[in-house]
Amino acid sequence: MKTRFIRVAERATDAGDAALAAGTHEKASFLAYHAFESSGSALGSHMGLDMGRSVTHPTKIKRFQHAAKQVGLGKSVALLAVRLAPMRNRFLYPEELPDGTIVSPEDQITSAKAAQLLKEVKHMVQAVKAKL
Amino acid sequence: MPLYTRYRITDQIAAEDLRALPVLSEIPYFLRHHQTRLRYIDDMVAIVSNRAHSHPAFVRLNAFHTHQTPYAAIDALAPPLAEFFMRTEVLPILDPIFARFKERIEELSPRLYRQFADRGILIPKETEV
Repeated sequence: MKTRFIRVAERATDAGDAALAAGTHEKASFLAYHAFESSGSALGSHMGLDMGRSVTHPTKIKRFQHAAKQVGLGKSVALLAVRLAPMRNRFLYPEELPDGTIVSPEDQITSAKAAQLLKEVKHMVQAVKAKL
Repeated sequence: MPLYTRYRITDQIAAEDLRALPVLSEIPYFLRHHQTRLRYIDDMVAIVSNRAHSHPAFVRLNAFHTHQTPYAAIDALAPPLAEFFMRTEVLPILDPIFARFKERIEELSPRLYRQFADRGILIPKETEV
């Protein structure tokens, strides 16, 4: 299972590159989230944790963090977790602000920040792969 | 109308009523070392899950900010809150709010205002001395 999760993560970052090249940086950002969570599922599965489909997204991230601390990746996983966890739905759906204005997913993050995020997640996926 | 919150992080009454407070009181400690990064972040309101427990599953942090995008505000807050997450294993879920809404939150979003009033813990921005 863990090798399949890593494959999901690597394909997600490849798709993220394509999304960046196509100018859809919010899609690249969501794919960065997806790759991050999938690499977490790989590491969690490796450690014997339940990372199945019934587990909620925040719980998966908490379990990823728990597993990462045991293999020396705790700090970098925590840093990405805090930046990605609250953005998952914002990268997917429009958000209504208190005054009624709508923020589209592409306005939640700039293209430059999305590229940086994807680059960091790519490194994370490779770091997790090396621990399996 | 000023932002109204029922608790302040330093209120003694909160310690009796909210068992998660000892964990949450660590947040200002981590923020304190990142003042430069946080110059565009104003007060925050923390709303905890399972508030009667000493160790909440997660904490939702509504941070008022003047960044261009919500992600930029989250990016600025990430280093101190990642340290908090590592130390406590309580996942902070950041929910940035543009600072222009701060004074009008009761009028614009009664539901959010009620959450702040009933369940929120104010983490006021520290002023430089």
